Amino acid sequence: MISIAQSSQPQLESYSDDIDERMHSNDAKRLSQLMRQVSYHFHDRVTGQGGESSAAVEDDYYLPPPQKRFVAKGVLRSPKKEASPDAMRFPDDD
Amino acid sequence: MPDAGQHYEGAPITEAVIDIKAIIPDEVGASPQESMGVVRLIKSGLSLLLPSYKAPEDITRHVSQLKVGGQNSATATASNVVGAMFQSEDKRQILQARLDGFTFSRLAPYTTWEDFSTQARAAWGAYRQTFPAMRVTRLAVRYINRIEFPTPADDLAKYVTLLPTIPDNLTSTGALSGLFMQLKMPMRDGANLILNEAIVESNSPDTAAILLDTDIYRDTDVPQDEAGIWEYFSTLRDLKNEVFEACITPTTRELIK
Repeated sequence: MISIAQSSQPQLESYSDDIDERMHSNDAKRLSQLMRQVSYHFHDRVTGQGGESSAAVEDDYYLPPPQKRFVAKGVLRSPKKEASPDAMRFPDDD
Repeated sequence: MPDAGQHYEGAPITEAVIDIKAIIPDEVGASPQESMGVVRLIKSGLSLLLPSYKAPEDITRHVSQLKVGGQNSATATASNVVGAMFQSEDKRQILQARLDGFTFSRLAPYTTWEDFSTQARAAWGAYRQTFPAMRVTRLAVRYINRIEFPTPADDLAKYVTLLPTIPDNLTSTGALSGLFMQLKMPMRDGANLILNEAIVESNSPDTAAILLDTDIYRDTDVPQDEAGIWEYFSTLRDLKNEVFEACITPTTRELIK
């Protein structure tokens, strides 16, 4: 039986993703590369960069806090789709 | 399961790390100039202890900032020396002494925990002398193991016990073209485990390879005194061995004995 452990700390703290800085072996570098691939794969899907649906972006999933959202939309939206004027507009334009 | 302290002649460890994160007093290293002075102190202390190592290299952190707003944008960059790296002549041992902690690495071939931890402890002692008031915030041991076994790799369960459960109707052959899995779980004695498992390229067409990367650490109620720190490292080492033994099979034990 597998369950989710109760944690007293934020899950993303001490996530051991500093493998690049602290370690030196080829295997450490390969692991680091695999971690990035997993991360990019996730990013690729939810932002539509790979030509997949960008519905997740439209649903406000996986976006930074509201004050930075304009940057995320401008940068992350799929280049294959025509961005709406709103997506690329900066707050000062309002 | 055999004794978790068992020594394997062919231990598949490709990198072992003893890592200590620490916070130095606020007033130390507040400016880039002060940081450089502190790193110079660290270097001189450790150079005496490590005469057979190459001359230390500075570890520099580069920070770039991009500010975007309206018609204007600006960039700012800064570089600070944040530590020093010492490397043994044979490049098998690497010590990083930074303003935020200390990392001692041993690359293959691994020797023994006693040898590895004794050297780490001596270097840590010299590093800590620079700032006796530093607060230790995290203790960790991390071992990367490369388990190589003969092809065809038709049943990974012969070699490792930690595998995903794949529904029968998902694949007709059960063959994986890639695997990367990360588990994080609490362990006994206040420790936590981050375990990465991955299929990687092998060094030979006659073998396949899996990496088992165990990072075991404590970052709450961390011992501060020297005896307590190294007693706890002994616990982390025992846990590391227990995790490794739990993840391998008798067939793998035969391969690495």
